[in-house]
Amino acid sequence: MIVFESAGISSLQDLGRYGLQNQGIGTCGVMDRMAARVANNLLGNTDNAALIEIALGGARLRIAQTQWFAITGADLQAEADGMPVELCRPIRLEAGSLLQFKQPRHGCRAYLAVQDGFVAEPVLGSASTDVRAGLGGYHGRAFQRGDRLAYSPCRYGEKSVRWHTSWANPAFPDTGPLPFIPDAHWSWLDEPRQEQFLVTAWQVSRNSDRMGLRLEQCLTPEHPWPSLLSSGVAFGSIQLPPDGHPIILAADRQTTGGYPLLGTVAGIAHSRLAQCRPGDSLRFIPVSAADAVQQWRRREGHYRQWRQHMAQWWHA
Amino acid sequence: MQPAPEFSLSPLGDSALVLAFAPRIDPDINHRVHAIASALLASLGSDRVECVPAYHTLTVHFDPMQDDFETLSTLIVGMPEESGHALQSARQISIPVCYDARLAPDLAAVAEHAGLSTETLVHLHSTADYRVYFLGFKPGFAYLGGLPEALHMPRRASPRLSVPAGAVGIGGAQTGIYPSASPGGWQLIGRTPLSLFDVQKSPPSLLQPGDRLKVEVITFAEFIALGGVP
Repeated sequence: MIVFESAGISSLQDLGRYGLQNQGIGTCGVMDRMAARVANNLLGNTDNAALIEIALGGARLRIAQTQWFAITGADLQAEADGMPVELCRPIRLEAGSLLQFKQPRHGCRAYLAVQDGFVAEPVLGSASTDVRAGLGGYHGRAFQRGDRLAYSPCRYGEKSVRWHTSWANPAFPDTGPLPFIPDAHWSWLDEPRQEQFLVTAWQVSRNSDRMGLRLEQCLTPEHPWPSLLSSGVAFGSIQLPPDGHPIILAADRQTTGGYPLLGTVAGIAHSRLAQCRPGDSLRFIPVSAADAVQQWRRREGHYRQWRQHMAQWWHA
Repeated sequence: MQPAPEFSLSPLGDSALVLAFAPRIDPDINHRVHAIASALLASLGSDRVECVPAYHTLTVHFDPMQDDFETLSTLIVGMPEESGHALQSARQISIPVCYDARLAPDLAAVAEHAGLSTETLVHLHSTADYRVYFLGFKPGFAYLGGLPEALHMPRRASPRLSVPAGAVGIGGAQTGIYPSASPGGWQLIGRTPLSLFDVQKSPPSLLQPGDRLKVEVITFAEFIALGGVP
């Protein structure tokens, strides 16, 4: 069992709740899928095992029972009993240890996985927390001080851990502009405004959360755009509301939206969106859907090879 | 045979696409949207695609390791029309609604905006024939068509921080029922004691696309008797 002595902004998540968007039920799930899957696979778990997402730090967790853990995603200066914890590798924490996430050095969201996953009753097929609907996860809400979360007993003793430094934090190597696939409404912008969108270093607003990243600057169309009928949206969809401040939709987005979409950020860059903090700056570069898919397949193929390696290591 | 209405296909990022008919709230167009969704699910299975129908669009989410825009577009365009058996049967659902002022904080304002007495407003709203176009916005929220034009009214200038579950509202040309308590900007003109969303049920939402809705006007006492919480 793990006990939250302070919770910061943290919630129980998995890869999300799928197949129910046609019932108005959002997918939710982790913001940074790659980091979460890496955390789970470092422990020989399945990709979808339930884990804790911690944003920006400020969390203190008491480990009540010895087990293997892994921390990936943002570097929130994690410490176990005052000693820095290495990210992206299996770590064994003894009963009684205090695990602290202080404040971000890199990125925004860290993932804490435990071997065999945290115990969670799936709701509508997923353990992820849908805070707005109050369902799933830990009683349908974010964690609070005093919450207790169970996990299974430790199966492995101290093993000499061989791990893949090359895989350390796959979310951070890319720093270039965010590739996005332009939407039909992109052509509603005249050329100077398309140019403005592409050259601006957009600042992430402090009003950003798991629903979406709001951007500080403004992009105002030449003429007010006609109002649209609601339609489906995706993770990374870039909405342009009438006030001109773009919003990039994220894990807790609604299933449908009624604002014009400039485009959708390519899957390969979703981890970077998840790791943006208020004040970070972002640029965009258009790509074709075909190119985006090709890049995604390359990275995913690489990931799956690594995953197989990890599974063999734990289960050999 | 009538020529089928045209639709366009465009990518929504690299793991979804949008099929769009003419942007209208039109029962025939919406029927086609649902027909294509069910045909696609029948042919590919729900593990491979997730379909999100709206008024005139169908958003199809897919796994880019397995599919891409080009291959799915070809498949959709080549799909036989008649294979979509669309919406089960058109169900008729009766929704008890209480229009008592205690549960309808915006009733008077909507009546004034429409230039009607509250009695006429209630009569118009409760005798209309509504159709569920799709579910979205939040769990179990049904986008309804069929609101009489006289009752169209803009949303409130500033949304309420909390609208109770079961609240019946008007927002622009739309009317709907809040399935759970939430912030909301619609004009509230009544309340139903019915529960519209229950995770224990399958499907969890009472209302489904294609359903026809009729309002059954109830008194405040009946609202309470049916388990409503004012």
